[in-house]
Amino acid sequence: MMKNLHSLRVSNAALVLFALLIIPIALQMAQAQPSGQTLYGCVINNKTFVVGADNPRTGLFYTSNDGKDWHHVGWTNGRPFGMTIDTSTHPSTIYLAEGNGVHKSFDGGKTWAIKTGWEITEVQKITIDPKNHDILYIATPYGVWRSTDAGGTWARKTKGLKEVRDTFVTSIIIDQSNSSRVLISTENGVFESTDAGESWRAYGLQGKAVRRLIDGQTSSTLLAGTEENGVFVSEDWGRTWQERNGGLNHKTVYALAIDPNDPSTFYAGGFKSGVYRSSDGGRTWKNSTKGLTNLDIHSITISPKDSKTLYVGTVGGGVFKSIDAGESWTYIGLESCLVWDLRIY
Amino acid sequence: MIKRKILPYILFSIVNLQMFFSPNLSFGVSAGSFRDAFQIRRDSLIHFYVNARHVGLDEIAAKLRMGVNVDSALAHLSHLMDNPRGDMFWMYPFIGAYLYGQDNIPDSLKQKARNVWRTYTPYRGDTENHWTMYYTSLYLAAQTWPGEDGSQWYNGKSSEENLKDGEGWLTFWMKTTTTIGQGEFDSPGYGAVYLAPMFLLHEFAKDPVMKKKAGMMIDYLLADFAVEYLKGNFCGGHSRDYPETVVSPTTTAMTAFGYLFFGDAPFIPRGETLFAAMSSYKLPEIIYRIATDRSQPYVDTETKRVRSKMRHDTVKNPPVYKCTYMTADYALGSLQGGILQPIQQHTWDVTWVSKKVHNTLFSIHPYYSGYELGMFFPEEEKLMVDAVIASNKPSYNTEDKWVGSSPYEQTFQDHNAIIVLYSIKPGSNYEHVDGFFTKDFDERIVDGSGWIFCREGNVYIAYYPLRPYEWSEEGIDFRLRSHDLKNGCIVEVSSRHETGSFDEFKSAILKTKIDYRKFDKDLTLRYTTRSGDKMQFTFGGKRILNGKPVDFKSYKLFSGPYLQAEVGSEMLKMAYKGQYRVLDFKNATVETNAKDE
Repeated sequence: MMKNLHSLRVSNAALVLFALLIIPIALQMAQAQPSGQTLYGCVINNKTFVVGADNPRTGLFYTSNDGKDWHHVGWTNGRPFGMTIDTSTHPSTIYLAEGNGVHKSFDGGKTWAIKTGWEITEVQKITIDPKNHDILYIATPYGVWRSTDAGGTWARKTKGLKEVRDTFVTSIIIDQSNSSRVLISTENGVFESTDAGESWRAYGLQGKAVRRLIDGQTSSTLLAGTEENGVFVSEDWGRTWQERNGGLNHKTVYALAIDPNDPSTFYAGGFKSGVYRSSDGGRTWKNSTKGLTNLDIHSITISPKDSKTLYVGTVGGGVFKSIDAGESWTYIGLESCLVWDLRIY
Repeated sequence: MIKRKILPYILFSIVNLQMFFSPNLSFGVSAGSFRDAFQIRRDSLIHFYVNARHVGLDEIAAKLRMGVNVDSALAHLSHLMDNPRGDMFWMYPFIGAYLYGQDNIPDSLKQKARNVWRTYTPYRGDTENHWTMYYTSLYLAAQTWPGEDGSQWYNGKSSEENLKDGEGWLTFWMKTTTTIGQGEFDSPGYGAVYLAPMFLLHEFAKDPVMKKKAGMMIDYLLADFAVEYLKGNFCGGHSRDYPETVVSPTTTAMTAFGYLFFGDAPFIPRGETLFAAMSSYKLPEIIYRIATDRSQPYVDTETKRVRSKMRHDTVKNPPVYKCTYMTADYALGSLQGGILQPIQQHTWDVTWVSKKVHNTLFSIHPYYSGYELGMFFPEEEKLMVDAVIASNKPSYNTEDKWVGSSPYEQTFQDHNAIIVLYSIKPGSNYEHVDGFFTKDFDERIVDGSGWIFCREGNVYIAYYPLRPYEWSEEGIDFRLRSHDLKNGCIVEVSSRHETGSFDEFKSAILKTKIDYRKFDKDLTLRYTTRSGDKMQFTFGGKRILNGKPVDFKSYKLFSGPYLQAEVGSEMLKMAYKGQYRVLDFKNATVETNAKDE
């Protein structure tokens, strides 16, 4: 009995000790990796950014309560142009497309490692192969790079791309049904690879600087936002393209979104544009600026829970939210930040 | 308090002024006295920093190295480690202070220093000077703390991975520079932050090949500087310069290197030179001779490269062609024109030896655009002009700026004559051309012939504006502004030594022939120089000298009496009066006939 009591006391003490050790770590992890729907914002600048200067904090921010509280994770002087999260791992693996390479966190943002060498710089976007999460593609101003070991090593993949003219890559999308088929948007239109990036061929919009290329996930629709040429729509995953700019008075487009519940509803934003919405597959667009105090839109994302809820990241004005499908907007934080990319996970 | 701060500066300035204005200091100086004089300047510089009351990492490095005021230096070092900032501008003096001072740093502080490389996250930056500072620092830090895994480094990489990364960039940069030319070439400001890391690398790299190559790169960069050096001035065209220094060329960071190594420049306290002064690097005498012997005028041509392009081209690093004419009194130098570097390009100028500060003349089309920025930076073109202005380049979009490239500017230089043409696209920013005429001129005469004659001391300049213009008086200069979109100027330079009196120069200029009958039609200009050379130049077309087209493609990496190198060679040959020194980067060897090495 005494022995049992003693064992119990030891067990209780161990439990208390265990709790004292684990709870703070768990709390820290909870803060580092939020649960539920979380909005992430990639901030490349805050008012000004001068290399070597005492800059305001930049990098990756997130909120789990619509901007009431924003948290910062990772480097406080980073310049993330884009991000992606591999949610198949526990905790999720976060990848940042940074000015100084690919940053990767295995522990929900608590610790980070740069996974690229000196050769890779100014990474714009990072995309995970949907079939094999060890395969990553990154878009850089100097071409596409691919990793087949989750960022351990990288190889430049530019066969078929003309140096400089075609190698500023702004977006990468992968065919969900055939992940060897990859499209990229460049300074000179769209290119296609059918061999997982080994080689590329021109695939439309040549001569146009494509700033953003997205796919509809649930449809064959692709949208391309361009510099000064507005929006182009493909309904056959890039084989043919149509210019659809009715009512789109701002033709430099940086950000696009397709309503997952209604593949004919699009959103677009760009240089001094505010947000445009189309309900007819891009044939006509309607502008909305109500509530927006900054009209330079660089990122748009739609809530997976409610497709009437949208968020936009602006260039120097932080983040805005709409709950009425873009009719009106409310500021929700990241004051004066250049929010280059927004994602919800 | 103020007196204490500036007293050392005044003292050194007096010492330096005596050297600066001593006649023929650089001629006939024996190797012994050249080294002795260097030693005096070197010691002076180190002691300046040892006694400085400022508490930057440079001063800490000097105090710890010399063992003076060690306790306070350590206290400051510890304080600076509490909140590091400055990215690569912090990294290299930090590792420099650590390595130079390690014998005086206690273990506890060494551990704190080690820990900084785990907790502080320096950004790598986006220029080649950033990367050179960053990777040199990382290389030396990784070498200092080997065998540690990624958890012990801010970037998650092991010591060996960081060493490899640093070596990768440094090897690439050295090879590229010696193959197709330096990207941020001949910068009076940024040249210093290539040299400073190389001095650290040369001093502390344990790998003998890296150590040797770093020393060779110092030779290379200093020789590149020396061949266009004139008593504190880094002459000719530059990839990058700042508005303040472009109009006062003896106040730059490279002037400070001129003081330390060549001795005939004003003393400017710069931390970059401290690391040079504290290193064991021994300046080859031949570089000193190349920098200081101006007994014979010469032409130096060079090929450099455009900063890596992202957009609007089909070549990542197109060539830059330089031509510089050097004399004992002045230099005329130019790049071919066009957009070769973003924001801070300086395409051409005349620079002369002077006791005054604003000893330069040049013209510029003050162009700016998102298109230009888009060539070199990844952000959105329409947003970048505002971003550049909001950062530390506030003059970028101003109509009266003195630095910057223009796609509408081209040059054609022949010895001490140059034709500069402008073909400005209507509606571009801006629709005028400006000329910088310093108030330091002793004379500025607008002649009825259209020529503007200027003199400072023994240096004469004749400037012929091709289109009507107006003057406006400013603080340090008279600004010549011309509003015609098809525009340009002809400039000839000479000196009392070459021409005799100023009147004789003016008379000779008035006998030259300018033929611009085809100027309005296709921007073609013909000009016969004082020496009789016939120059024909069409904007966007050919440059023809005495009937023969100038072929830039035939330009070598270096060509002239002192420096020779072929494009792609990874070599540089220095030559001076029978002395030679050959740097071979492929084999990491130096061949020389110098007796004192």
